[in-house]
Amino acid sequence: MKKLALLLLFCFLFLTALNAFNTGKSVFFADSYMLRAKGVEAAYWNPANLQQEKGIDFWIPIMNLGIGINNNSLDLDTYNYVVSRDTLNDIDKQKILNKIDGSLRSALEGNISIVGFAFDNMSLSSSLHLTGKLALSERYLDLLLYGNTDSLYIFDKSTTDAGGLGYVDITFAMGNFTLPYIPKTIPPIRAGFSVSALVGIGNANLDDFFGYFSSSMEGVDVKQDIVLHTGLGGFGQKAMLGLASNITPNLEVGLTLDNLFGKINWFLTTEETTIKVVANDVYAANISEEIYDYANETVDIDSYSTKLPPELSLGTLYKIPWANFSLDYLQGFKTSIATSGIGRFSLAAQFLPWEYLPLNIGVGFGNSHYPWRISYGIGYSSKVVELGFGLQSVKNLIPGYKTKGITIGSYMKVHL
Amino acid sequence: MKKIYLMLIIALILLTACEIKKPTMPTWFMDLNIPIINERYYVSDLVDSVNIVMGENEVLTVTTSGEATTNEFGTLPFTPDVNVEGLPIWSTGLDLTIPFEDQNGKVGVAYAEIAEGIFKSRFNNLQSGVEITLTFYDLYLPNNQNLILTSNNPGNWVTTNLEGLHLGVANSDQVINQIHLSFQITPSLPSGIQVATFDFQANETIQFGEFRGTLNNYPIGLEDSGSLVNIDYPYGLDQAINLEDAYLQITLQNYLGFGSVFSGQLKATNSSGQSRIIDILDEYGNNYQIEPATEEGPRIMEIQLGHNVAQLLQIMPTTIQVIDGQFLISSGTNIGRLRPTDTMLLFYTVSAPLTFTLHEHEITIAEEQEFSIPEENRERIRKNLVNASLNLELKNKLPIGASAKLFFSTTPSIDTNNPSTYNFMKEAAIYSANLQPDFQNVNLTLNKDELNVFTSEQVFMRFAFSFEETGTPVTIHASTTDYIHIKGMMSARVLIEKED
Repeated sequence: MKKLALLLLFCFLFLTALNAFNTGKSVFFADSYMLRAKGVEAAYWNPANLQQEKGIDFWIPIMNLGIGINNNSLDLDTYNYVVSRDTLNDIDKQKILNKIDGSLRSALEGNISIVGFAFDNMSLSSSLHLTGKLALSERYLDLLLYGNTDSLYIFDKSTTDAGGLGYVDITFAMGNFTLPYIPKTIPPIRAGFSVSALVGIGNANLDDFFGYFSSSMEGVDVKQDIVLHTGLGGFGQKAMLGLASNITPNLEVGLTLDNLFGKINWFLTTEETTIKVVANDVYAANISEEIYDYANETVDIDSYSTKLPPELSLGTLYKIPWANFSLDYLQGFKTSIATSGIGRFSLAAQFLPWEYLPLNIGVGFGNSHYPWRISYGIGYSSKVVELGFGLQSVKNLIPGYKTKGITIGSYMKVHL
Repeated sequence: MKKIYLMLIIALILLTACEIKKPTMPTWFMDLNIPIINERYYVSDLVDSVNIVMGENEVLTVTTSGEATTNEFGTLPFTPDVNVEGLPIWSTGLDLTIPFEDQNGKVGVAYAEIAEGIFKSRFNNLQSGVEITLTFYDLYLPNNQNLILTSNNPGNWVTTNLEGLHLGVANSDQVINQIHLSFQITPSLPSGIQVATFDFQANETIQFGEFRGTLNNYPIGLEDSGSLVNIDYPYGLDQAINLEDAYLQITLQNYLGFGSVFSGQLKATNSSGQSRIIDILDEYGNNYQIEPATEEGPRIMEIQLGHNVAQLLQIMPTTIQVIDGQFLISSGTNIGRLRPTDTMLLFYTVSAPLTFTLHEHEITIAEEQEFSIPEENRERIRKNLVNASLNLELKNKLPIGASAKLFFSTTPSIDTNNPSTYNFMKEAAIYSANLQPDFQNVNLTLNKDELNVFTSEQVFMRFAFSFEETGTPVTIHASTTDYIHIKGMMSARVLIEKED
């Protein structure tokens, strides 16, 4: 049981700050993918590039997926170090805590295609999106390792948080519209849009979290307030606008505005769970008395919405015959369960030693909520079928002992 | 380009080659700080209104009370001195009175039920055919008829049992100094003829039951002059304390219908055999006057002994006795009453305000504490507990201080003077408010060896303490500012490990 708990703990720690990816193939490029997405995928990255010269582009169900777990602090090396030690001394403890910057943030991300096809300048697709996040204050681990050596420990939502969201999108997109009235001195600008109907599966959101633990000669004081909103079954929508333009034959730039009008209304089952624990001036001598107040109440609440704040993406793609390079910037307008308010860059390259065998590498530059990562991918491409497998390493150049998370991605589609 | 392939392959190989070690939980040491206590112990909380009360000026006062009683009064002896010989009885009859008084002059009877007693009478030289009837006008049968004797057995002494008879009339206020006898002769004879002579003896003690009359110079001893007060000083505290002040209040319920003068002494004896005696006198040095009971009930009197009881308590007595206790009744001509069941009840209250002088004298608690430590806890102490300390912050607002010693052993029979009989000893001191008015720190630390004592199935503990010497008397008050505030934090270094 202890082993299982330890394993779960470390699996949990590999979760990191949420950064949902839109399609399986984007994993290959560390999300520097706005102008690389073609066919069905363009509906999620930039519908302006939605164009089929002929035939139909099909997603093979389930084969287009990306699943990742990661965290901002701990890695396999640390895990191996901890489990190989008979006894953790103060240096070991400090080594563990030094890896955590205030909060152990972790996330689970998943994206699985259900169905998708594109023809002409349109596409219709559906995907399952799962995201979950957990942030655990460093002070909890401090307590666990050192004991209550300080007189006051405060835990709030800035360092401790949890949430999850699962939904299925049904997306229709059209693109490859050339914007009119553009001066001829300016290269043509393509435009596109996508609209998504969102079917909510479930949502859990920690609405409030505050607690403290203090121990002094006056006694132990404990307070913990938790307000959790949960919803099952919902509907929502979002839309995306995209622009793209080939400035030169080799250089393409693009812009998207995603999550317009984005939200999911939860209505089937919506509950608010409130947990309050208060204990003041507790000491061993009065431990037999009623020393704490505990309230755990779950009530039905009115339907509520999970908002998906808009995100602005800028992208550029430069192509040469044997390779191409891209740089993307993503800026969310607000942090939410599915978006980040802190901007970030990503850079990717695709090498084509042979036309049918693309090799991909991408770097996602990190920020305070998003650990940097690097992606590697290999694929096979022909006129009829495309498939590939990619791997992403978080905060380490190559997947290994220092990796703080790992994401796998795959894609398979056919063109008929 | 081949290099790129090579890098990718290496990356994949590296990842798949990563060794994920078997999850095993390491052990580590954790420091736990557990608040143990944060309480103010007010002196006033000791007040239980029974044995500990709040005295004047909020001085904490120890009080003990009880009761003592005299034996029931019993029967009252009355010894007349009547001896009549050869009293001529004439044919016309005879009325006469005979002195009937207590030989000792102590008892004057107005009315008395006779519980026991006799007198003797004899008719001599009785003329033939004559019958003499003798009526005692002051002696009554239970049916209130006068006692009548006849000359049925002439020439012989006749003993008359007086039990059940009563002398005098109930509620009479007239003391009977002489009894009235009347002789009637039948048949009628001419006057001047002597028909008999009469002998009468009443000189044996008669025991009166219910009595009404006078008592003079009549002592009633306190038959039960055993311990009036027993004081049990816990832990031999008497060796370390000198009380400065004490009061003895006696509430006396007098059921006797006679007033009296109470005299006696209080004798205090301590555990060393030392004794001290004081006279029971009022503040003017006089004996206490006890008023008689009334028809409505007993007379209740308060006797306050304060000015000199402290002399007794200064030797920290274990017993206080009343010795030579006596109620001396002298009613003069005033009529009193009593019943055999009458008693004197003494309700006493000893009050000792906690004003005392403390001496430095180590007191060892005789009882050895024994702890049984469950196997589970022993195992945890053995495996997980590295060291422990108890950090106390104490604010002592009392004018007394003390130091305590705790002796721990895995074997019984701890001798605090013989270190080989115990494993370790811990000592802590708390100073009086005079020496340290603020919080004082007391730290008790147990190392691993000392903690290992508690891995034994049985642990024995003995406690010894000594007071901080005060030099001069100090007083314990019970106001809201008199308390001991104790804060305690247990700090322990424990080993966290996987449970088997």
